[in-house]
Amino acid sequence: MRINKKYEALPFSMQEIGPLIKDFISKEKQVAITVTGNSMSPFLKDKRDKAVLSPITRTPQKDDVVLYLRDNGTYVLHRIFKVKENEYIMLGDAQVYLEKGITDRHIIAVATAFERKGKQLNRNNSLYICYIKLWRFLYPFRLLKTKGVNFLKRTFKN
Amino acid sequence: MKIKDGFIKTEIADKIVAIPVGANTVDFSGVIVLNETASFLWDLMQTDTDKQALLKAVLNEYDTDEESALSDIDAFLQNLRDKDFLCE
Repeated sequence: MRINKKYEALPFSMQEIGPLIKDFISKEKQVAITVTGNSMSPFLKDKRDKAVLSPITRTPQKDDVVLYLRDNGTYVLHRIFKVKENEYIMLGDAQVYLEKGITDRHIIAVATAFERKGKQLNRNNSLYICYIKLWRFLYPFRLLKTKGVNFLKRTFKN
Repeated sequence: MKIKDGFIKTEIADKIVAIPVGANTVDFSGVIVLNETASFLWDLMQTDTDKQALLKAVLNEYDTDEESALSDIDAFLQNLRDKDFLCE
């Protein structure tokens, strides 16, 4: 066998580490991950920021960022937009279309702390809470903008 | 010298990796991918050892010369030092 030199730290996709995360969380461990993808932008950005995931100790609430496993096998880290009687409505911060049908059985862990641009903050951080409120306030405008842009694209395409 | 306690070696997406595991927190952001050689050295360094013992083991296991083996062992050890994985 020949020696091979390369060994490096690489971020893995959520799909790749999801099962391991689930296993550690079930053993009451916290798990720190590097964020992959930009669906939680502008708050969390691909490969720049991190999230600390903790076991669920209370019922997930509106505005919690949770890791959940969709029925199609995809692991996702998004924010709870709304809590209904039998489901959670999910929305990544960069998204405008709501995801319905997520229930307690889908949710694996809750993000209790973050590292954003190298700075630590937990979910009770007052600036973070302000950001959540502002982003929620802006949601209808973001949705309108996306619908408007899509309408124009369809109109001028034809 | 040996690798510090608090790591587990496992497989993610067909890659062998070492993950820092604290008392309560598993840090995937600190995961290091180990190629076959690094994995071999990693296992040897779970107990206290020295460079000569590593060299002997590598020369027994791999088709390489002493100079190349030493160079790669040094590079691996430096990588561990840079990441503060090594106990000397």
